[in-house]
Amino acid sequence: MNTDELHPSCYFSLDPERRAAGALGGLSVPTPALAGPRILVAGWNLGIGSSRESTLRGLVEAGVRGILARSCARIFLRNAINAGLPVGLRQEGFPGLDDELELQLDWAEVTFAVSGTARSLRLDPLDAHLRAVLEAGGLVPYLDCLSKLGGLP
Amino acid sequence: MTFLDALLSRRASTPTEGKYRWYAPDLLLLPDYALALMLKDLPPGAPFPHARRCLVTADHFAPPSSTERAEILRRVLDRAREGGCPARIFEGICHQLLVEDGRCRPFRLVIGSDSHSGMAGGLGALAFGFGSTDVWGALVHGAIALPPLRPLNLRLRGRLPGDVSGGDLARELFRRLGPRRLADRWVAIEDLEAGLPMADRFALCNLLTEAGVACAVVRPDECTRRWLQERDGEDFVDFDPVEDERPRSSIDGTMAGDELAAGRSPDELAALEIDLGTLEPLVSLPSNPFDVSPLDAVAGLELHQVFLGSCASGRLEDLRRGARTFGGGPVAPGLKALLTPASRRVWLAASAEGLLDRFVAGGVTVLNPSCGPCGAVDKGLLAGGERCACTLNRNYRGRMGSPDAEIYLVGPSVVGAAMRLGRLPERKELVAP
Repeated sequence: MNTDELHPSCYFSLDPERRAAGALGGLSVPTPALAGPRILVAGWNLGIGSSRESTLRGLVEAGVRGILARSCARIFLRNAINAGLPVGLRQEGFPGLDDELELQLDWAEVTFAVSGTARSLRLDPLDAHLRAVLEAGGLVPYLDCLSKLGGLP
Repeated sequence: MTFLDALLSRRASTPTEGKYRWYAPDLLLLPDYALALMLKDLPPGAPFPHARRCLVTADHFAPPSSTERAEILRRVLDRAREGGCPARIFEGICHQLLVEDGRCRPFRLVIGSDSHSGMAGGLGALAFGFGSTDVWGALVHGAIALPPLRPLNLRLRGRLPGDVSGGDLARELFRRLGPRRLADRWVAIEDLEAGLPMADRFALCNLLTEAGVACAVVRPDECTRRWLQERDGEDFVDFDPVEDERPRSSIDGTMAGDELAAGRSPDELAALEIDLGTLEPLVSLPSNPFDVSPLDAVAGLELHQVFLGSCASGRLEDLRRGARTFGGGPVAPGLKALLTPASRRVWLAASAEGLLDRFVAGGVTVLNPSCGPCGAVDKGLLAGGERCACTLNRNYRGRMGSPDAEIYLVGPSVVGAAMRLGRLPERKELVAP
């Protein structure tokens, strides 16, 4: 799923409401409602295409609180981490994880219930650097802190 | 081992918590919309700490076509000036201005806050595209974290046929490898017989963005040297040759011992060799760059619009190729034909050769150097059901306006012929009329 589908470029804006209106706006199916905390679950190469961060911001402003994917495109993954948006990757995918299920997401696994039975799927490990940026809440707080500690070249 | 291992290990770097490492980039590209997204994280009025390493371009909103975009551009222009790096206003597409900039050189670490910044790899720069916050980090803190090196050798032999472009080489790679095998790879390209002209090296590195590569770098050679001499004139400074024989540095992104190797195929592609002479004109069909077909399989398809330009293929050589197959035209009845030179410099050079007049006299609409219809950023958008053949890099649904338009990605020779014929040509029609 490419960035033109995730957030058409006409929704590029510095206005959060305008950006939120474009979330998943390029899909060829009716846009699902994203209100309420949502986890976006996707297949391979999520976010291939443009580097524009308005895509991530628009998704977050529309209600996305995390991403699960078999893989993310390079720039999209960095953009999500830099924005402090949790990303869980799993090459084997997320069998059984259907729409509207409630789930819990942590560093190691995603847990959800199917017909009353709890299931959990282990996530592929994130590089420790990406995890550190996420733990700081994104690249801006991470770098502001790291530069004060003298940790940069 | 690739020449990228040698280049990377020459650079100073410091560790992160994981396998990424911090590097200090040499050159930062900030197009207008990306600097706009950074405004919230830049203290108002303060100079950019690394302003002398910046290139700011007003190229997407060039000129702005809505009041909102005019407001955004105004803020960007003011902030860039306050930051100590005034924007280049409407001079051309950011990636073209990047490769025309004397600071963009072989082996320099160049990062751009736009996905196609990797195009500068065509002249041998270590060039990467990123989102705006990553480049903010370099702008304010002077550092960028690069992922582990995952090299892939791409060796080119032979010469590119006259009707084939660097974009066709990219499409050939897409056809052979599919959309995932190049993801996150650092593609080290060696043009062993200097058969790929510079314009096509840029097109190749530009289009490889669509495969999710980390970067694509053409090892600089005599061809690169001549191009830099022409670009820089008296200011030309030669580059050092790359030494291949280097001990492995601590930067080791290969499979052994790499936690991220989980799930990678043991026979992960390490090298690929292509004979340029065997390439043919190819088409990316709507709506995926990886849906590739030989040109002849779709010849005859009626078109509503054609477009020659974009950062992928808006250089002088691309305009020459388009002009050759266009002849004097005229543009086919009812067809919308657009052209954008990628920069003011390209515009003036094409004008000096009479190319622009030839296109205009034949009925082509020449637009100012900017992204134009690409990315649905500006004028030249498509209605539902319209079919467009163009030299863009991606053709996802909605890329040029209506999600129900069809975008065919082709080389410049194909667009030139299509301008006259009003349809996709056969390969044998890619000749001067």
